Amino acid sequence: MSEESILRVEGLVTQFSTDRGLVKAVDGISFDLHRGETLGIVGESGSGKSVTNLSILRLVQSPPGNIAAGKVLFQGQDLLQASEEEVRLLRGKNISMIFQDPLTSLNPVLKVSMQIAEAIQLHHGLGRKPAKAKAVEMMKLIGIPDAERRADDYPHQFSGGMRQRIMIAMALSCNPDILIADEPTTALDVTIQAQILELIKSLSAKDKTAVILITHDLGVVAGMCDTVCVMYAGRIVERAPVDELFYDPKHPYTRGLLDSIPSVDLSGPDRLYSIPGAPPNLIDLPDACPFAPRCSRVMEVCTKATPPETVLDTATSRSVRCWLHTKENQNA
Amino acid sequence: MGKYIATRLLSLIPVLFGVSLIVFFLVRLIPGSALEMYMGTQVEATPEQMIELQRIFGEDKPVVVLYTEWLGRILKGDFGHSLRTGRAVLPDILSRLPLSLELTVIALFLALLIGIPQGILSSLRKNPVSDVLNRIAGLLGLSLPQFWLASLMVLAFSNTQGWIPMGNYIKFTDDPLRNLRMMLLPSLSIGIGLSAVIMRYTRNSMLEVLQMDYIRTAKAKGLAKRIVIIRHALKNAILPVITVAGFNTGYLLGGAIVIEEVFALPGMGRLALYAIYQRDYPVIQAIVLVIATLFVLVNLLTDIIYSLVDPRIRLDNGARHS
Ligand SMILES: Nc1ncnc2c1ncn2[C@@H]1O[C@H](COP(=O)(O)OP(=O)(O)OP(=O)(O)O)[C@@H](O)[C@H]1O
Ligand SMILES: [Mg+2]
Repeated sequence: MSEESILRVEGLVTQFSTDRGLVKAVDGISFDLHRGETLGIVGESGSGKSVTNLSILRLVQSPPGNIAAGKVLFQGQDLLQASEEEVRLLRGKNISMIFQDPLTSLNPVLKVSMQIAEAIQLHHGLGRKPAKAKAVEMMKLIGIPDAERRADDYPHQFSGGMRQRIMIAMALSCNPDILIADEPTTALDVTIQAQILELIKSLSAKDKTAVILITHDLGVVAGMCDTVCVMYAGRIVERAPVDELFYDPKHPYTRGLLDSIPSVDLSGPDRLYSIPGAPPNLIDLPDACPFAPRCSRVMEVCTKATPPETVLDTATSRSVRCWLHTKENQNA
Repeated sequence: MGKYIATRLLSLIPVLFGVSLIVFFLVRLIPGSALEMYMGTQVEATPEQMIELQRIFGEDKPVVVLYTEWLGRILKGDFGHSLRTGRAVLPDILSRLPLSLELTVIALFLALLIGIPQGILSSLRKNPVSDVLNRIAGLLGLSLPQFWLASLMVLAFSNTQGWIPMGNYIKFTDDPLRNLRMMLLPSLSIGIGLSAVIMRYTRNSMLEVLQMDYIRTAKAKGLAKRIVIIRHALKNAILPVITVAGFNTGYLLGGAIVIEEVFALPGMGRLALYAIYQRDYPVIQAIVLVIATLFVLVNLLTDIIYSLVDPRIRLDNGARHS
């Protein structure tokens, strides 16, 4: 993990102004992404995973969204300070995204080859014909049978899995440095899920593309990621190399997530475990640990102050935000 | 597609049959018959003359019999003769139809030309002031009566040579430029209301489409804003606009009928108006049939255009899914 970091997010804060108040969707997030690394971001629905990643490319709808603080350093350049035009030219070329629902994420009235080709045309300065040829090549690469003939078809003429392959072809067509995959398999059925993940894995390994994989499926994390960030209420509550996270979770929330994985082990309890309670309202969060109301190991201090980030291992940048693990409590 | 068009054209038969039935009996409900209009109050006629006149004006038999006779002639392509002028009805209508169609087409074109860009622009700047101004303009465009607008235009431009047709109508085939110039104001007075409708539809549709996931995808590709809006958003947003424009084209044709009178344009509208004044039944009936046919054709055309823009709509049921 000592390789150069290609993306560094520092203290990112993204808010939405709504009728009911200011929603702090992302509240001070920092992480590093290295070349060739696959970083998993997990967390319950609404924890700010998508907003974090949309903020990186400045694609958060504004208004109501607003990136209030932080830095997004891509190869040393702060994208939050860069001009709109500079960021635009990075999109799809250096950093590309695939989204959860491939049906709604593809334009229904444009041919799929055209949707793949337009990024190639833009970023490689190719003409219409060669760009389309490259698009068909990409379609073959990602395993669309009969690609030449299907190139002029429209999204609705493909199955869900094939549509997500097309999204991947689109995202990888310009050999990006970073691929952000926002729950790429949530909308697909299980057998297709594995194929799509395998595809992302092999293609990113081939070009040493760094991947940010957003998911709420820890099984996916185990199979795909090098490092994991666990998000809760707009913050990263635990960051760890994937093995350490599974074998030695520090944060009670992480532990809860791991315990909620359905197990095939018949000796275990036969009821599915889930963390009691619901995530907090992100408007007017009190100065306290946001997980405290649901935490089985809650202490008095948890409801009085926000826990700081405690770095447990600088080499792996393992860290946790929990009063159980602050320096004072560790020593005690 | 061919098969679909053929089926739709076949559906013209029942539509026209229904329309023929309604119009035939409806025109005879207007108080005062053609013969009474013709006689006025002064002219005296002997009973023998009256019987002869009733035969000529087609008032000598029960309406049902008259209807079946008329329908029979129509099926043979004979639309009859005008009760007032004695001229064959169909050639008269067909010679005036192009003018009314031209008015309608230009009005539609202007409505789209004004409405769509306005709608796009107002969907992009979500500034409350311009939004209110837009709403007011839209409301005015909708609620101002066409004939009133047209009269204002006649007043305002009556001293300007060549803009108001007023009796010296020039055919498109004779001098396209001068023809278009004199068609501009009449078309505008018909089309302006629809342009307001189209503006609202385009705006709302754009606002909706701009929220879609595929717009985010297009932005994430790095496409310029202009391309995102025109290629990705507008092509989707235009779909409901096509429907509404098609639906309203018939209404434009209706507007043309009134406006032709204001601008003294010798189109089908004026023919219809005089035919109604004079209870010239054969002319009215034929015009209504022609208009009904146009309605069906416009609807068909709308569906075809829609299916060309939206690949998810296949007019034949031969869609290929996988
Ligand atoms: N356009 C918006 N307006 C207001 N609030 C928003 C908007 N977009 C996101 N949020 C809020 O930001 C928070 C984080 O949303 P985000 O989409 O990042 O969650 P997520 O972790 O990706 O969840 P999921 O797993 O459901 O995708 C949510 O509480 C959501 O209500
Ligand atoms: Mg999300």
